[in-house]
Amino acid sequence: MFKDAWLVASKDLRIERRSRVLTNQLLPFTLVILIIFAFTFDTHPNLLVTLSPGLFWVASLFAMTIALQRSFSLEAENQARDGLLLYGLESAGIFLGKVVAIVIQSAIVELFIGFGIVILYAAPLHEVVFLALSAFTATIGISCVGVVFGAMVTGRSRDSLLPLLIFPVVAPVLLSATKAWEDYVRGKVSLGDPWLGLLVVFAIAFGAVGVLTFGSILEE
Amino acid sequence: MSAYVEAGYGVVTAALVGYGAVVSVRARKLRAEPLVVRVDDSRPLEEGPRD
Amino acid sequence: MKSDRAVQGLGLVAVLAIVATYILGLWITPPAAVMGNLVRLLYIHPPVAWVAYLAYGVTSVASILYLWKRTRDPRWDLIAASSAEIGVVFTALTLLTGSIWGRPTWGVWWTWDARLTTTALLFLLYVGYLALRRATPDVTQRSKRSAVAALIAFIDVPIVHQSVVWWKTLHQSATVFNASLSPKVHGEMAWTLLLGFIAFSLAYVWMLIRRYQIAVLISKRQEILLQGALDERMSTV
Repeated sequence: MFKDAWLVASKDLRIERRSRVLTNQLLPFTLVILIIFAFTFDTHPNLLVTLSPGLFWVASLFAMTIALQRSFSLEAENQARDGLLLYGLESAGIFLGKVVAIVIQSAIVELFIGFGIVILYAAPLHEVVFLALSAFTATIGISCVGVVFGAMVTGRSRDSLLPLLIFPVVAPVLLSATKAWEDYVRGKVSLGDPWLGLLVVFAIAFGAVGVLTFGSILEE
Repeated sequence: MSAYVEAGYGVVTAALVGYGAVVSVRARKLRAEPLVVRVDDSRPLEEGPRD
Repeated sequence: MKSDRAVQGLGLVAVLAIVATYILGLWITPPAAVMGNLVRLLYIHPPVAWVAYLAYGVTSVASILYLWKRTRDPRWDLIAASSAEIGVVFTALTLLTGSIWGRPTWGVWWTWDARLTTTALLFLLYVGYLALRRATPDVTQRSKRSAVAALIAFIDVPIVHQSVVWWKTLHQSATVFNASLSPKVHGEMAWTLLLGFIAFSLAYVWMLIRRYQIAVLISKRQEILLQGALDERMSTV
């Protein structure tokens, strides 16, 4: 299972590296989002600092949705997905591989948005290690949900359905991740932070759902 | 009686009646419509499809 | 059709029970001390919300029974879909009646209370579920995928609720639910509320049966059309 996951993840990442969609499209897009936020909150520069945890996650979620759509629309062409199953890859492995690839891309995007917030909004960062930990856990959870739904709805004009399916499900992740960040800003740091716990529970629960059900989504 | 109470009961009644009517009319229609079955068994199946 | 008579009878009983709830709730019961006539909304709002949760519960159970290979049966999928649609109707009603009650009571149409927020997300989760069904034409694909979506919603709801409860308790001490506003339910008021629960549950069961019948008829029709198309193709040799 883990070998299959590694194969799928490295395949996806290789495609991304060669197509350069991440650097040529996703990162510039997040920059545009950050600038638009700055425009809309123009009158209150301090507001940007206060809102930066929430803005960070909204920008990340948009970018992740696009990355997911891309990851699956590539495979919708030429029935490449059936190919993966025909090669004898385990469906749980395919799921994990996809999640790993999305998490790595998202981590790069989030790092970029993080820098953008620090530089453009002059937002101070506190407890960077904990911040990274909670962001990483949240990203895993969102990716698990995203990969399951992405496999369901890509191709044939169904792409527009993806945000409607993902956003309500990951709403608690966004809430928890934002609140965890605010806690760190206030200097309340501990591994027992309830928000971090919720993020871990979410990631485990939907990781398990993905591993168990991805087979019945792929095989028709 | 307050207008809010009337609005609340009105909304619920409208939705129940509306949904109930749609569901029962649709069920009746579907049951009344004869199924068009286009089966042509004048030829033996063994001939198989052309392509 | 004997069973169809029974369904018609059930529908009639549901309508009578709802009418009785209305009469008791609107005219027979007295206005409450603090809330006045607004208390009358409480005879329909909790029963409607209960039916919404009941409907989603049925969808979850049916979807899990479909996903589990040993109990897999296309009928579970049709039951799940029928119940989800009714659930969406009743969640919309829950939000609407709650909002209508909240406006004069709290002074706002909407407030980010834990229960309200959870219900709103629940509504969106199942709107997505229905949209997913509509966007997936293949029957087996649709059944499997929507069952997974229902499972995700089922797991998500407690997490959503917990997160929103924390959100409120950790960051806002005063809650919108004032103790003096929550009515002491007793006597004929309690009976009216109980009747409301029964009446709306009966209405739910009737709707579910009718909606399920439609789903079965449509899927049969599709099967026959498909078979017809196949036969036609076979015979044009």
